Amino acid sequence: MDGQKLSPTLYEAIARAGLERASAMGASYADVRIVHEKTRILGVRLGRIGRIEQAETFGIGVRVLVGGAWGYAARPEVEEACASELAARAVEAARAGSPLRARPVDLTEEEPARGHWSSRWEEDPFEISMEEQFALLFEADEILRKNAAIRSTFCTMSFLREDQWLYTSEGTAVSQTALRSGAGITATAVGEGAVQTRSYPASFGGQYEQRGYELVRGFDLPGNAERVREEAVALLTAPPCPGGEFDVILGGSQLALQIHESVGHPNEFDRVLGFEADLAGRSFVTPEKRGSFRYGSPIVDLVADSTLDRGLATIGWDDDGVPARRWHVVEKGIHRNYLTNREFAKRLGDERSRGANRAWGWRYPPQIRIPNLSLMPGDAGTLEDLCEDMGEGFLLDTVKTWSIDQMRLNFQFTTEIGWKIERGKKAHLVRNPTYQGITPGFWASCDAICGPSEWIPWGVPNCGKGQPMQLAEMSHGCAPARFRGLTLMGG
Amino acid sequence: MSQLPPGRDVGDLRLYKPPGIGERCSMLSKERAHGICAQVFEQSPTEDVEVLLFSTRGNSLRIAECGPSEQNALEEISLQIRVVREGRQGRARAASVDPASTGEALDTALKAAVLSPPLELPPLASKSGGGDGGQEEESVTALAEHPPAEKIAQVREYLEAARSEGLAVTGFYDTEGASVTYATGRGCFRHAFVGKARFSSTVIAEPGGAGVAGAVRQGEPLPDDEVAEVGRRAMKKALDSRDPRELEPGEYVVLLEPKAAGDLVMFLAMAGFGARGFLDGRSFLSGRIGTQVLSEKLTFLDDAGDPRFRGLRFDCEGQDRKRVVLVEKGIAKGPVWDRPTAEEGGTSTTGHAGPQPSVSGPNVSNLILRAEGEATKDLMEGVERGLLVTQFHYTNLIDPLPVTVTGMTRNGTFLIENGRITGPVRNLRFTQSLVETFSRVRAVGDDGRLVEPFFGGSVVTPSLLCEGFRFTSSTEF
Repeated sequence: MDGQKLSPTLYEAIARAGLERASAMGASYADVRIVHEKTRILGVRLGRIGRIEQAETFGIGVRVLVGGAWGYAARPEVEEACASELAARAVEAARAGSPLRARPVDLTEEEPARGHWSSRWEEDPFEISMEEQFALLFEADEILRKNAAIRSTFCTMSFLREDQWLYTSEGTAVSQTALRSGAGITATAVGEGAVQTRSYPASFGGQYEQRGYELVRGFDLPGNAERVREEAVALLTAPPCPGGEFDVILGGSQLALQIHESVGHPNEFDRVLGFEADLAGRSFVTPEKRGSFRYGSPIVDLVADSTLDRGLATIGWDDDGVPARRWHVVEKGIHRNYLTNREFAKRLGDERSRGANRAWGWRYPPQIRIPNLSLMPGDAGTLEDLCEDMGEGFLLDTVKTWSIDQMRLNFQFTTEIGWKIERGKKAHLVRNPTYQGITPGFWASCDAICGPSEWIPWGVPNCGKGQPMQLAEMSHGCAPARFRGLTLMGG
Repeated sequence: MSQLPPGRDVGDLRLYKPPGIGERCSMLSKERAHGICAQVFEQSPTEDVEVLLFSTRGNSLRIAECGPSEQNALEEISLQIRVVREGRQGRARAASVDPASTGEALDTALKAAVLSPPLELPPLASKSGGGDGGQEEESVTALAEHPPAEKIAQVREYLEAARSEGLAVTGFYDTEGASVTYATGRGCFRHAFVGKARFSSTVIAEPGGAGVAGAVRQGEPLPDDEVAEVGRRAMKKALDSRDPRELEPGEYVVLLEPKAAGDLVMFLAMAGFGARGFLDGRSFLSGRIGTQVLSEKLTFLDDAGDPRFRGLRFDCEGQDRKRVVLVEKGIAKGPVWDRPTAEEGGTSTTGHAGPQPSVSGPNVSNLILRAEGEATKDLMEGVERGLLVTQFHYTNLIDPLPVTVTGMTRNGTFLIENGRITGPVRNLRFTQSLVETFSRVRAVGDDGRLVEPFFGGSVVTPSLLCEGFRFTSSTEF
C-alpha cells in the first residue's frame, strides 16, 4: 500500500497493544481501526479561487464490548501507548453504562478475515498538478459568467483517499484503500424577482465515483457550461410548474436521492428499532413487513451492493470485518431484507450480518450505513424513448431541496429544472417543480424504468447520521423512471 | 448537522494516561498553542502565513431502549495553514502538530500557492485586536473531561422511571471543550476556550405519542436537576401526545415553542443574513436596508458577548467579532461581513469571516431573536383555533428570496381551541415563506433560550405566535 504512514508490522503492534489492554480489562470483544485520510478540494467562484484545501488526518479508534455495552475512544495519535490508553478509556465508559442496558449487545458469528482490498483507478488525482486542475475549473467558470444575469458560480473538484487497517480480538486483520473523485459546476441567475440555479453533472458538488482523475476528464465541464448557464437564465422567466396530478419522469440524479431517503434510511435496522429516534427519526418499515410488504410496483428491484464497480460505498470488508455482499432490499416490489451489522443482524434473527457497518474515518465508531443501493434498470429504453412513450407529462431533474418525515413516509422534493412533455417531446421549461407523496404509494406508481444505457451510479458524498453526526458516502445506481399520477405542488 | 458538548471532575480518566501520552491531544493552553504557531512561523520562509488551530476533547452518551447504546470519547487537533505568495493563496491541513507534520503541511500550502492563479485578498492581520472572548479555561476543561460515569448517574433515574412506565427513551448527552487559535506570521495571535454541554431526549409513548425536550449550556456543565427536568418534560409531552387525531392541512395560527422557532430562525439567517448572498441579490435584505422587512415585534442580532453564548470574539481573519443588529423592530439594518465582502460592499468587516478564501462568505455565529414579549403562558389565550408545534423535522430551503421552506412537525403537535389545548394531532407538512411568517407575528414570548436547530448550530429564540402558517399535506402518524 502506498498510503502507508508506518511499517506494516508497526500497525499490527499498535493494534495488539489496544486489543490486549481491552482484553485484560474484561472486554469480550475489541477492535482497533487506524485510518489515514487525504483530501484535496478546489473551487472557483466568479473568476476567483473560492476554495483551496489539502488535508490529511491520521488517527486511531478503539471499540470494546464490556458487559454487553459498547465503548469507543479515538485520537489522532497512532502509537502503542495511545492505543492502550484509548482501550482503557473505552472499557471504563462501557463498564459504567453496562448495568443500565435493557439487554446486552450480542454479535453474529463471523470468520476472521485477512487480506488487502483496493478500489481501482487510472490517474491518481493527487499526482495531477493543482495548476492543471484549476485551469479546467477557470475555463468552465469563464463560460458560466458570460451572461449578466449570472450572479454566482461555483466550479469544484474534490478527491479523497482513505487507507484503513482493521484488527479485531477475533483475529481479523485487513487493510483497504479507497480513492474517490468528484466534480461539478453550478450557475445561479438572479432577476425578475427570482433566483434560479442549474448544475452539472449533479448539484451539491457534482458527481462522485470511486475512480481517479479520469472521471473528471470525462465530464467535459467546459463543454457543458454554456448549457448550464443558459438554462439557469431561462428558468428566471419560465412559467411556474402547475399543481395537480401528472405523469412524471424523474431524471437519474433526482431518483438517486429518492432511493436514498425513502428506501435507504428506512431500512437501516438500528433505525427500525428506534435507535435513531432522537435525531434522524424512526421507520415505517417495521419488522413484521419483511418478506411480504409491497414496497413498490412489480418492476421495482432495489439491490444493496457493497461490491458495485465505481460505488462510493464499495469495500472489501465493513468495519465489523464482514466481507462485502450484495442483496435485495426490495425484489419485484416486495420488501425482502434490511441493512444490518453484526449487532443488529443478531437482533433481527439473521445468521450473518449484511456487512453495512461503516464509520466516518477514525473519529467515531461504526454504525449501520446505507451501502450502494440501486434501482435495477428496466426495459423502457432511453430517456428519449420514455418521453415518447409518456406523451404528456413532466420530466423533472437535479436535486434542489428535499424533506421527508421522521418515519420516511411523507416526502416533498424540489428539482432544479423541469420540462413540460408534450407529444413525447420537451415542449418548454417549468420553474420550481415540486412533487410530494407517501413512500409506498410513490414506488407503487413506478411503471417504467429506462434501460442499462441510462443507468449511472450517482454518488452521495454527504450522508449524515448519528449523534455525534457522522458523514458517509454511497452510490445509488438508477436510470430515469416514470411515475403515474404524481402530485405536483405548483411552482 | 453537527455540534460540540461539556462535564465536570474527571479523575478516573487521568488514571489511564501514561506519562507524556495525551498531552499532545488535550485542549491546548494559550502557551502550548503559541508554541505550535511559533514552530510553524519558524519553518515558514514568509511572514505571510496564517495558522488556524483547533483542539477538542469530549465524550458522549447515546441512549436507546432506555439504556446506553454508545459511549464515545474523542480528542482531536486540527491545524490549518494558509500562505500567501505574491498574491497567490495556498491552504493545507496537517495530520498532527509535530514539527515534521507542520513542515509537511506548510510545504503543501506553499506548493499550492505557487501553482494557484492569483487571488488578491486583504493582507493577513498584524494586530491582535481586543479581547478574545470565550470562556474560562477551568470550566471548559471540566466540560472536556466530564466523566462518562457521571453522565450515567445523571440520567439513571429518568431512564428507570421511563422503563417502568413502558416508554421508549432515546437521547444524546455530550460534553466537549475546545481551544481555538488564530495567528499570523505578521504578529496577530488570538486564543480562546469554548465548551458546551447538551442533553436531548426523545420519548416514544404508544399508541402514537412522542415527545422531546432538551437543554444546552455554553461554558458550564448541566446540573443534575436540569438533566432530570429534560426527562420529565420529554415524558410528559410523549404521554400527552398519544392517540393523535388526523387534521386537515390548511392555514393555521401556530404557537411555535423555542425549538420549533429555532429551526425557522436558522433558515432565515442562512438565507438572508450573510453578506455574500446580500451582495449577490439572493438575500431578502438585498436592496431593502432601512425598510420594514419583518414584523416590528422582531429584532435579530448577532452577539458573541451575550452571556448565553460567551463565544469567540475573533473570526477566521483574526478580526474583532462585533455585535451586529441585523433587523431592528422589523427594519432591515444589514448583514454580517468579512473583509473580502466588506471591500466589495464599501464597508468594514463585522468579524464574521470563515476560513479564507470563502465561497459562501460570512455568516452569523451567535444569533439572537430578542424577546421583548408577553408571558409565554398567555400566548395561547387569544387563539381560537391553531396549532402548538414542539419541533420541526428536516426543514429545507426551497426558494432563497422569500425564504420559502418545507418541513414536518414532530414530537408533539397539539390543537388549540378557544385558548387551550384540546388534544394531539398527527404530524403535518408545511411549505411556507419565512419572510411572510416573520411578518405575521402576533406575539412573542418571554421564554427566550438557547436551542439547537435540526441541522446544527445554536440560536437564542423565544416562543412565537404566528398567523397564516400554511400546512400543505399530512402523514400517517
